[in-house]
Amino acid sequence: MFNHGAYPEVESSYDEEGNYYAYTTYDVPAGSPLRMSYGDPTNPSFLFARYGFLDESTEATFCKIIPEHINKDMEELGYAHNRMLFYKDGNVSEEVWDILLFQHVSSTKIGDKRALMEAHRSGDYATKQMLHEKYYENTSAMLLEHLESFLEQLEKLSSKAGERQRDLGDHPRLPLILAHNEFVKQTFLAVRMQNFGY
Amino acid sequence: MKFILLLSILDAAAAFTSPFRPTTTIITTTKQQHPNHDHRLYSTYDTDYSETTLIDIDEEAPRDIPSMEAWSYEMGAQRTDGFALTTDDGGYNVYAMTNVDLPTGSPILTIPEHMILSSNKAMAELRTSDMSEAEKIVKSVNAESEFRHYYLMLKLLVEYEKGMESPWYQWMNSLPRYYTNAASMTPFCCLCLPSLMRKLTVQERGYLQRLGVSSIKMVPYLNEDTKYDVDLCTWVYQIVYTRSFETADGDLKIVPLADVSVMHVR
Repeated sequence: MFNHGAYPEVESSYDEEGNYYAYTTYDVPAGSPLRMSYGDPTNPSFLFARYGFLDESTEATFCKIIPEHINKDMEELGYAHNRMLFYKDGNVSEEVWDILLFQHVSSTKIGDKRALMEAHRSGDYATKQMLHEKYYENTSAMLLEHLESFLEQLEKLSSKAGERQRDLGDHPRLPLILAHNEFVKQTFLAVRMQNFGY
Repeated sequence: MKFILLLSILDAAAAFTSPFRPTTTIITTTKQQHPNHDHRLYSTYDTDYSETTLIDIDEEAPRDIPSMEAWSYEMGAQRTDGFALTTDDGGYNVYAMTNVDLPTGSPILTIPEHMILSSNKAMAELRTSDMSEAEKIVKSVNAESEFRHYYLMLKLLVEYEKGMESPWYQWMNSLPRYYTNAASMTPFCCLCLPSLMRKLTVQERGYLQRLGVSSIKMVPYLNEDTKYDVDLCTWVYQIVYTRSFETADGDLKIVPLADVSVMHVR
C-alpha cells in the first residue's frame, strides 16, 4: 500500500513467472514513507480525478488554456496537459507562450505563423525568440486575460461550493474541491504576480 | 471445488521463494478493532479473521489491515525487515513506510504471481460464451477499451460473492470503502470544479455508468442481489480503477499489499 510520490522511493518489476518485486530507487532513511508514482506529477487534476487526492507537492499544474480546437500544429508546439504548465513559483512553461503566440499569429499574420512553425521544426531558437518579442504585447495580454477570467471563474465556483458547505452530509467531498480550487488559485496568483507585478 | 482452489493457491504459496528473503514471515493475529488513535503501526498488532461472511461495503466500515497482512504473508508475500503499514488518521488512510535505512536497490516486497489479480486471468476465467449479451452492452456504449477493467470488476464481484471462501477475502476486506475521486462525486460537486477537472470528472463518471450498472445486470453467473447493487458495483469499479496498473505485456494487474494507498481526505 504505497502512497503517491513525485520522487518515488519504490519501483516495481515482474519476473518471467509473473511474480512481483518492489525495490528502492534511492537511499531511504528509516522513518520515511515508501511511495510509488501513480502518474504524471505535473498533472494533479488527473491524480485528483482518478485517485481522489490533491498533490500539493507538485511543482506545476496545467494552465487550463483549453482551445476549442487543437490542431496538429498546436500538438507539435507542445499542447498537452503535462507541458502547458503554470509553476507554483509563478513561471510559465515555454509551451504556453508558444501556443499563445500561435493563436495570435494564426488570426493576424499567416506568414508569421508559418515562420513560427518552421522555426520550431528546425530548432531555430533565434527566430522563435524574435517572434515572441515582436508579439509579446499581444501574447502577454492574452495571458493576463486568461488569468483574470479563470480567477473570476474559480471565485464563482468556490462561492457556489461554499454556500453548500452546510450540506456536507449530502456532498462530503466539497471541502476537498474547495482545497483544489484554492490550490489552483494560488498558482494562478503567483503567475500573475511574476508576470504582471500584482 | 472452491476448497480445492484455495488449497492449490496455498500450495503455490508454500512453494514460492524470494531471492532476497528465504523464509516467509507469518504473523499470528487476534481480533482487530478499528483503530482510533493516530500513527499506528499495524504490523505489530494481532487479529482474528472477521466472522462476517460478506464484506461490509458501507462507507464507514472499518478496514481490516492486520488480517490482510497476516493473509498476505501466509500466501507467500515477503517483505524486507523494517517494512510497515501505518496510519495517521485512525485507519482511513494506510500507507507503507520503512523503520530501517534502506540502501538504493534494496528489495522491499515480493508478491507471488498466484496472489495477483490480472485482467488476462480474469478474462480467461470469466469471458464465457454466455457473456455475449453483457459484452454487447459494453460495446454499445463505446467502452470496449475498458474490457480489461470490466473483467477485473467481474472477478472482484465473483470473489465478493464467495465471502470468506474467497482467497482474496482478507485483502478485499482491508480496502477503503470511502473515496473522494471523480467517480464518487455528486452532480453538484461537478458543478463546483473548473473546466479540466470537470471534464475529467465527467469522463470518470461516464466509465462508471457504462460499466457499473447496465452490463453487469446481464452477467449470467452473478447473483441477482449483486447485479442490482449499485453501491457494490461502484466499490469494485473504484478498486479496479485506482489499484490496477498496466504491465508491459498489456495486462492490467492488481497486486495486493503492493497496490496503491490512495489518500482519501475526509
